[in-house]
Amino acid sequence: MIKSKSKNKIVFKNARIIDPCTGFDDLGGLVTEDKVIKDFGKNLFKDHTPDDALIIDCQNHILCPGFIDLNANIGEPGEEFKENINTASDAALASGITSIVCMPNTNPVIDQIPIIQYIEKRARETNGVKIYPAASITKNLEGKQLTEMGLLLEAGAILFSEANKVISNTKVMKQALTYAKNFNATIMISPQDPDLSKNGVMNGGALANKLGLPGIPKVAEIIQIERDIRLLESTGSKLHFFNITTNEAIIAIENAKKKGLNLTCSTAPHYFTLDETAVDEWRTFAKVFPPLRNKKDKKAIYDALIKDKIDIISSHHSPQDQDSKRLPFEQAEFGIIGFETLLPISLDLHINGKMKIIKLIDKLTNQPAKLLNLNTGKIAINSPADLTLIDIKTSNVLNLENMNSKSNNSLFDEYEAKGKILCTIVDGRIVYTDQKFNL
Amino acid sequence: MHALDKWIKENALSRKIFANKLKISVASLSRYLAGNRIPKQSIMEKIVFHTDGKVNPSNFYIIKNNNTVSFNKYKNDHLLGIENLKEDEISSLLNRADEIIKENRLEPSSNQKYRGKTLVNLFFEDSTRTKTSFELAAKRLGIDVINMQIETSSIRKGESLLDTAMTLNAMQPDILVIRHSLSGTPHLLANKVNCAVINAGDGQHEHPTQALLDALAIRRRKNRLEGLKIAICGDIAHSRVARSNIKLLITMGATVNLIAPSTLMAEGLSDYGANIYNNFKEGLSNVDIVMILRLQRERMQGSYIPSAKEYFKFYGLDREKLNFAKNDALVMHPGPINRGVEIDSELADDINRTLILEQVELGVAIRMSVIEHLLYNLELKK
Repeated sequence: MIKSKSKNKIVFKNARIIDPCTGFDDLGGLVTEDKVIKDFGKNLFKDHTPDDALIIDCQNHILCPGFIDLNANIGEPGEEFKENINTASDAALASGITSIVCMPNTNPVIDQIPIIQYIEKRARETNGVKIYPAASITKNLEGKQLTEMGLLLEAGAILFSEANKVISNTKVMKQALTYAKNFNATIMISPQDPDLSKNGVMNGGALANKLGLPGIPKVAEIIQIERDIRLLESTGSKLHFFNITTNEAIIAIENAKKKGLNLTCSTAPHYFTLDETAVDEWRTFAKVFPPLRNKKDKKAIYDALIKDKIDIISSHHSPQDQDSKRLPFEQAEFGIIGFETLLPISLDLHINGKMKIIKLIDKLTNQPAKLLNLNTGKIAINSPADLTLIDIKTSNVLNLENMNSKSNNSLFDEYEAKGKILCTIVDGRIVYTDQKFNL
Repeated sequence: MHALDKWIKENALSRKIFANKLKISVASLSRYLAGNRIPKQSIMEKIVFHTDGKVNPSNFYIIKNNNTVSFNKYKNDHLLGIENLKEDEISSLLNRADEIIKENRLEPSSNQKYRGKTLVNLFFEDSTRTKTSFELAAKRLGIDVINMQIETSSIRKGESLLDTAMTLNAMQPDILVIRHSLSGTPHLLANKVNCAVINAGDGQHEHPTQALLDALAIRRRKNRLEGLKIAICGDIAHSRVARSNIKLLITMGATVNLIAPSTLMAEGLSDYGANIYNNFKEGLSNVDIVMILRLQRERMQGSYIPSAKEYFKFYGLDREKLNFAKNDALVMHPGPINRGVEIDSELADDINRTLILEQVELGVAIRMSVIEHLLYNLELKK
C-alpha cells in the first residue's frame, strides 16, 4: 500500500528487514534518500512517518537487499532475438534481482574494451537492473591468448570467465590465474572437461543410452575441478566454480577450502530441483550445460546448499528462442531461463529443506557481493538502496505467459511455488511493483 | 458385404445355387465369403468364369486383409520404437508377417485395398536395404511410394527438418518412414504430423523394424522366442539395432547376452535384463542365436579399439568361437557385413549356419505387416 509524496525519499514501514551481511532480522522501518539507504531500525517509523516521503506499508513482508545474479546471459550483443537488455532488465527486476553479471560468450565476445563500453551504454539507456559485464579470460574464448585483463578491469569488467567453456590448455589456465592475481581479479569457471564432454548433450549414463544420446559423464566435472584446484593451489589466486552439479565436485571443493584456498562455488536452481529424467522423451527445454544430473546428485547439491558447502545460488539465465529449441535434441541449443524462477524455486530450501531464510538470502545477496567486491547486497546506512520486498507465504502458480523474458524456455511452467516479488528498488528508485501489491 | 454376395443378390441367386455351380458345399462358400479361407486356383477360376470377371481373386484377398483379428492388438498410431511395446503387440506384428509370407508364396496378388494410399520414405541418412525394403513392402501392398533423399548437406543444418515435415504433412501422406542420424527425430515429427510415422532408424536410439525382422527370422527357424538364449555381439554402445533387439527379445521372454569390448559396451542396458560379457567364451556359452553387429568404420580409428585386426582376433566371430555356442546355433547380422572384421568371411557365406540373406527377405514381410497395422489404426482413428 503506497502513499505517494516524494519520489526520492521512500519509507518502508512494517517490514521484516533481513540483512545477511550483519545478521539483522527484525520488524522495523527503513528509509532511502536519493540513491542510498538513509536509516533503518527496529523502532524507526513506529509511531510517526515523515511527511515528505513515499510511504510503503510492507505488511510484515521481507525487505532484503536486491539479489545479485552471478551468471546470466542477456542476449546482447549478438542474440537480441533471444533476449535484449530491456527484456532481461524487466525480467530481472520482476525477480527481485538488482544486479547481474552477464557472461562473455556474446557475439562479439566480451574480450575488448569497446564491447564493455557498449554493454554499459545499453545498461545506462535501459536504466533498470545494474549490469556488470564479465570479460573473457582468453581472446575470443579460444583458450590461447589472455585478454587485456588490467585494461578490461579499468573499463568495468567485473571478473573473468570463459562462460560455458574451460581453458583446456593447462599452461594457459595457470598463466590466467597467475596474471589475474596482479589485479586481484576473480576467475570464474564452469568446470567440464572439454574432451569428456565433447558432443555430449545430457548426463552420461543409463538414460542417455536409452535415449540414444551422447552423454557428458560426471567425471568430466570432477576432473576439471581437481585440475583447476591444483593450479589454484600453486598460484594462490581467486577462483570461483559456477554451475556445480555433482556430489564429487562438492567434496573436492570442500577439501580445497579446508586448505585455505581462495575458492568459492555456486549452482543454479535447476541443478537442485530437477534431474535428468526431465529430458523425458528428448525434451529440449531440459537441455542445459552442464546437464541435469541424476537424482542422487540433485539431492547432493540440495544438501550441500543446506550445509553451506555451496556459497552462492545464481540463475544461469540462458534464453533461447523457439527455433533454437524446436529441433532434434542433439541440435537444440543449451539453456533454460532462470531469473523469474530464481527465488520461487530456491525457496524450497527454506520451506522443505529447513534452511534459515536469512541464509538463503545470504546466498543471493551478500555472498555474491563479497565475491564481486560490490558495495551493495547489504542493508547499511549510505550503501546503495538496492532492495527487494518479497512475500514468502503466499502460493503462486508460475506462468510462462506472465514472464518478462523474451524467450520462454523454462521447465517450471505451471509449477506451484511461494516467493513472490512485491517490489524492487534500484538506487532508491522503485523499478518494479507487483500488480496486486500496488494499491 | 462381400463382392460375391452382392453379385449373387444382384443376379437373383442364392448362396446354395452358386455353391452348386462351383460344385462345392454351402459351408465352403460361406468360409470364402467370411474371409476365413481363400478359394484355391481351380475354384477361383470357376468364380471368375461364372461372374464374367465381375468378381476376381483380389476380392478374396481384400476380405482376408479385412480379417482384423490379428490387427487389433497393436494399439499405437506410430511405430517409433520397441520400447513400451507389449508382448501381444509384437506378436501381432510378427504373426501378420508370417501370414503375408504364406500368401506371397502362394501367388503374387494385385492388391486393391490400399489403392490411393501414400507412403513417403524420408531418409536423412544413407540407406540401401531399409529404404528399398520399405519401398518394396509398400508396392506389394499397392501403395504409392515417394522417395525423398535429403541431401547430406542439409542434414547438417537440420533447421528445415520440421518445415520439411510440415510440407510433407500438407500433402497428406498416410505413412511417413523416417531415418535420421539424430536420436528422437521420429518422435519429434510424430508430434507434428497427422500421418503414421515409422522409425527406420534414429541415431543411436532404435531401429524397430530391424528388431522385428530379426525376431521373425529367429521364430521361423526355432519356432519360438521364449526361452531362447541369444547373444548380441559387437559395437553395442553405438548400435540402435542392438537397443531395439534387446528390448524386443527380453519382452518376448528370451535371455539376452551382450558381448563387447568395454569401450563399446553401453551403461544401463543391464536395466533391461541383459547379461553383460566382455569375452566370447562365457557370453556364447549355450546360446541358440549369435547376433553380430556391424562395426562402423570410423570406430576402428581412435580410442574405441586399436585396430580391426585386434578386434577380429578377440571379438570377430569365426567357427572356433562359434563352437562355444550350442551345436545348432545360428548366426545373424543386420548387414552390411565387414568381412574379416566382425565375422569370418567363409562363415558368413555358410547358409547352414547363418540367416543373413533370410533376414533381408523377411524385412519386406515385416514392413508390410507394420504398414498394414498402422493403416488399420489410421482408419479406426478416422
